[in-house]
Amino acid sequence: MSEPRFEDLLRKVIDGESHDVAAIEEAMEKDESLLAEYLDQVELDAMLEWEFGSEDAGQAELIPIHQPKRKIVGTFAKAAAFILPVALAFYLGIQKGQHTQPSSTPAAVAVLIDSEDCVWEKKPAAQRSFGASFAAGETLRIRSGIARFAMWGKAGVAIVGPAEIELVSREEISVRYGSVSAFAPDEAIGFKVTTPDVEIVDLGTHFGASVAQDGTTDVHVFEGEISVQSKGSEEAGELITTGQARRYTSVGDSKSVISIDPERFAEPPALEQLLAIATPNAAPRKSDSAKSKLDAPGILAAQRFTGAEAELSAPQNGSGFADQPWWAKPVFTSPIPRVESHSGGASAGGFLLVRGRDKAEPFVANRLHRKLDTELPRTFYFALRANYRGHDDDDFFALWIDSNAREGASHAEGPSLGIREGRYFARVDVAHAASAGEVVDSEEFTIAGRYIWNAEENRSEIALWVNPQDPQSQPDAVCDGPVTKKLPRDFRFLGLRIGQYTEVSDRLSVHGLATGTSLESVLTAVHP
Amino acid sequence: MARFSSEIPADTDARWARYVAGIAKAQPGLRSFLRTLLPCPGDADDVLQETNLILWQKREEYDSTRDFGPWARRIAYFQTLAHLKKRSRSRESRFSEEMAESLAVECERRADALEDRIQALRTCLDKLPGDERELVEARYGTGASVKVMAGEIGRSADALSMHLYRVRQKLAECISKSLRGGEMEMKGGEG
Repeated sequence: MSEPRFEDLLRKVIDGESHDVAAIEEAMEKDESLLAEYLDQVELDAMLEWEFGSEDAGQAELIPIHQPKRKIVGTFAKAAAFILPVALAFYLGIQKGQHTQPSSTPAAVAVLIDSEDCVWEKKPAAQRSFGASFAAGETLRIRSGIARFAMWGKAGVAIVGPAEIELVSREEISVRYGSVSAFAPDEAIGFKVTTPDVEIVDLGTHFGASVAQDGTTDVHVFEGEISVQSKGSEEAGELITTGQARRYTSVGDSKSVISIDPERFAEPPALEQLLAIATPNAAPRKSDSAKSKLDAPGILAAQRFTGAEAELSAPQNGSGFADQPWWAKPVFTSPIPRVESHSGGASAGGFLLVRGRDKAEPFVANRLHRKLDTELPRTFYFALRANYRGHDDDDFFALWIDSNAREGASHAEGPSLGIREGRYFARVDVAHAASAGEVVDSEEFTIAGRYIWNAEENRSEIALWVNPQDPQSQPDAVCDGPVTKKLPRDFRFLGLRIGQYTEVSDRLSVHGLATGTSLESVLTAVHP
Repeated sequence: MARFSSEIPADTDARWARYVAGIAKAQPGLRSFLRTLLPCPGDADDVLQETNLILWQKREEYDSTRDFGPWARRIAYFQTLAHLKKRSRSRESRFSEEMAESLAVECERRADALEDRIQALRTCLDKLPGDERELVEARYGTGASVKVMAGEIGRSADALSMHLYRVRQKLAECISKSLRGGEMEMKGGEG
């Protein structure tokens, strides 16, 4: 009988039809060239299983992100997909090994991803910081402030203290008192919030529920639809939809229509927050090509933000800046690294996150600035690529150029570029602004300005481009004004400030900013 | 903003979240690594579970300035050795420790390019003729065994198994070709 062929031995083991591994070993020892074939076949088998998600049933349910054609709904759903690997690790490594499970690692149902001025009852704050995991059955007692959680069941939750909430499961929380807002994308339909008197089932939405000490429950639906059922009632749940609000009173078991009030609730977690926690080691992308592009002709100073941790702190980052790093307010500016899903489709991150103003801050909220290597000429271009989440018409921010970088300065007397009153603007000073376009919430934009300081005529002029497609294009708006004594005597600093009416939950994602000697140079610098 | 400071995501507290995410991210690579050392279906998954648990237990020992991949594979390797030593399975169904070691060394050599290979695999899958792509999807998308599949489509299990082997061979060739192509492109761009 002739010896079986290597490929027959191998395919049978791969298919599970044979367990004769020793025969494979013997063949590979005789002929080392078979090793490569072995590695290729086995690795491909593993990769295909992974790619098509047909591992053991227990794992398969936890890895929907590996199914390439999965429908992803909304940005939050994407975030949920990214955060899933974390849940996956918990479940593969910890929950599934329950018989040997160390007592210190109970199955997590939620993770704390953000808090604002949060004061916890009892437990020391250190245990309640970013990334802390919470197990089923844990009760959260918050005296004041806001805490945001990602539920492993894919919903996001924000709690405003004073509040007492029990984490029942990945799909359910129970509110004894306090205010909770939840966001549940399609995948999280069925997410449940129970209060002493009612049971709220999320049907794919953003809603808020607040429970008073006496048990009165107010329910507000900001988007989508929920079903509310009074406990112990035989009736079917009441459907409440976008823009509606109800009050359920335990005394007399009554309900009434109330007016909707988003102010009473905190914003549920933002996409970036979910991403940040799901990203190990914040691996920076190779930026050699980006760097060389920043040395292109006409660029005076530029930086593209990729979310690398050292982006703000390393003095050599960017191009055309003095040999010192960015000054940045740490709580309000954070690099958000880029993350991609395993299926290769969705990706997010790779920018600098700048938060809105906290009410406890001074009105003038500067977020970051940096000194330029050489002061700008009297005619220069500048540009910014970014997007703004949580935009409303009283939000303001500006990329400013000035002779100083004092923290409390408004930088209103020099040239700046940004958004104001729902539009993009470029201005020579606070009194002379050109504006164009309309700001769309969460939509990426590129704005560019050209500043000309005409000393002979004692005037300065600014031109504004909004999302220019062509470096030869005409500006969308132009404005000029007299040069006054208040004009900065030189342009040595560049920075970013946020307006006084922005909310701390607002998020300006900055992809790149630049100054240069032509429109083309600054557009090249801010685009990947 | 002193009162904010206690709420800043402190490194130490974010560390475990990052570590857990590291475990999650390492899964495809670890599984592929373990399949190589333990080719019988099921064995690799058992050891992967154990490895994940050990990774979690040893979290304090992890030096976060180092790459996670090699650290995880080292633990997986030792778990494999422990598994190979178990006498509950027949000698025929496992590699010798020496072979496991040389395979582990080979895997380590290939590990860096795994991400690229997965990317290339997606492109190569798209290049497969329709019927072969369907075959792969039917086999790996449903998790059906070759035997069951063969019964359903009225082919012999042997022929189907051989066909799948050829398709994997084709994909492997396509992947290594596209990676070589990628390298050349890069060199051209740099030069």
